[in-house]
Amino acid sequence: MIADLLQLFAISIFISLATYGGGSQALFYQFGVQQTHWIDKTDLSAILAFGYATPGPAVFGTATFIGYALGGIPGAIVGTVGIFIVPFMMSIFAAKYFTHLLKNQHAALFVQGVGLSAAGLVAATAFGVIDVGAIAWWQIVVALGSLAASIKWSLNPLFVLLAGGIIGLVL
Amino acid sequence: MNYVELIGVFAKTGASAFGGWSTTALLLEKELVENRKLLEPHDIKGATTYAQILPGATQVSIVANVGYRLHGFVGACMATATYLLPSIGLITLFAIAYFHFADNTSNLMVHMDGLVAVLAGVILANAYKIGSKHTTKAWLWMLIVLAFVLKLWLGVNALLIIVMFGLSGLILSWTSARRILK
Repeated sequence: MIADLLQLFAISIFISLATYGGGSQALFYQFGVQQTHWIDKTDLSAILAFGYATPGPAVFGTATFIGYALGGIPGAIVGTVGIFIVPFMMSIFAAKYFTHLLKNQHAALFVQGVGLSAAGLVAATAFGVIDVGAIAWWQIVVALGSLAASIKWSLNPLFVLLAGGIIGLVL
Repeated sequence: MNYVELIGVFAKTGASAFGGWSTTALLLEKELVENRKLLEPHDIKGATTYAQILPGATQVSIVANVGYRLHGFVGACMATATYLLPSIGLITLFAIAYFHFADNTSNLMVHMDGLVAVLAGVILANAYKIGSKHTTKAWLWMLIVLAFVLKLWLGVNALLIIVMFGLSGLILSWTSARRILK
């Protein structure tokens, strides 16, 4: 268990460093589901759904969730500290020393490149959580409806998810 | 602002910050700039701009930065811990319930095909929003599709894709070709 928690700590730090403005879902899917099998697709869907309905940076709470799965409350603490500690320290460091970084074009283009890849990777995660091979016609309609509602009317994911859960239970 | 007030402000913000980092920035601006007049609008704007060029959770970067401006390192620690407490507390409770009643939860998820379909739509919308923020030119959507194909169909490591795209941006920034991005 200790080895798993150390690996989770390292992976959480990796994920936090590789995420610029979104994309952590894709990395949790790759590391937590595909590579380590710490959780499965159903578990990831459950925590992402719950995360979207929770305030704060709850998608990052997937590290807490995986940590709990591996080692109870101590594991949850390891996952949480791992995912937040480095960005937290960098933020303080930047506030204190790097006022010029805001206008740096090299940093801006690096972030733009990472952001473009994050968008593609997050889209790939959507196809990871849903079982594309066994998808029903009504699920495609619901997914497209949820996509449109989220983009066009910027509906809070909480309400969109609640509506989808009810539709699923009725159908 | 004393530490008790600081804890109150950030815990309240953490409990009501639904809908991404912009809500957090707005709530902090209302509480610390408009109501208490402890900071200037440019403090929040600076914290927000920094947060977007730093890795990790944007909200946490904003909160750490604002906490630091209020009370130095201790303020940053207290602000971040109290801001995270509501969401991480809820997720821990969810994890306890989920894994304690694992069999029941798995059965429940079988009936949650609708929820999974909606989740896929919400994640795709999230991808679109991230993409919109970074596509200064329409053709850059093709790079997003490239990342999507590399991951989903070719199974390339996500971290490798991120590093490749980030470094490409960095290399372009040193050449005159950077104009094609603007």
